[in-house]
Amino acid sequence: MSTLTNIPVRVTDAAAAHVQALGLQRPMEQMIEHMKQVVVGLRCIVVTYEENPEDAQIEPLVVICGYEEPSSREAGDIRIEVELDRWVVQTFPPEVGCRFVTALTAGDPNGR
Amino acid sequence: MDGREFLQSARDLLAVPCERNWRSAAGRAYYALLHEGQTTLQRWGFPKLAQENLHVFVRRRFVFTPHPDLQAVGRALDRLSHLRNQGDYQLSTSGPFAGAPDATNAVAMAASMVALLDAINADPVRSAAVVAALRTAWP
Repeated sequence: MSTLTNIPVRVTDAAAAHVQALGLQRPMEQMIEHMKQVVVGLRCIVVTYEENPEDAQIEPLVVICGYEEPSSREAGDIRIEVELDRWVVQTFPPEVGCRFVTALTAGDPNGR
Repeated sequence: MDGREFLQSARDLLAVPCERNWRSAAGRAYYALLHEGQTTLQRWGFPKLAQENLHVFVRRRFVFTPHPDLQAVGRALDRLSHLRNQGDYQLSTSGPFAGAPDATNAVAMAASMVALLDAINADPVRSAAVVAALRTAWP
């Protein structure tokens, strides 16, 4: 378990506005903090607002994306994703949890 | 054909490692779980109406029903949908598809959730509880 609290976090303006409109700043902060605490090899967290590119009927989501060190776990080992989801389900009611996706990626946080 | 067969398509794609296949594998993983979710909902007595959007129908029943097994599937669907959207629409940068891990994890997640649905179906007590939760949330 990581004890680092100085992991950089960036929340896009669109995500911040959406979360504020929903009144869900505190749950977002809790999800970010939990991700910091439990994900080993976390480089940074980026929070974005995502509308579905195909269908406006699908509710937009706030994506809390943790960027991991590429070597921090074996590909296909999804235990940490399962744990993140379990925590969200246990901590928040469906109408709150459903607004957020907690994702992890080995990709480049600079988007290359 | 069962939706889960898309999992094999995804694994076939992963076996030929390159960015286009990692992107496509993420999509197959999402659709495998989406279709298995729809099939399972139908088996439990919740058929999709003809005019309903498949993505919305399946997502809402899994995400909004207050039952941990259903919400686990729903959250996995949302994560896979997010990755699939990146794979199919954000081509200007490699992003999560610069390597195999994200696509590999997506396929593993879809397979894990299909196995969860199978486990629920194999357990009459567990499936009865899930169906009861769905009936309460979606009368």
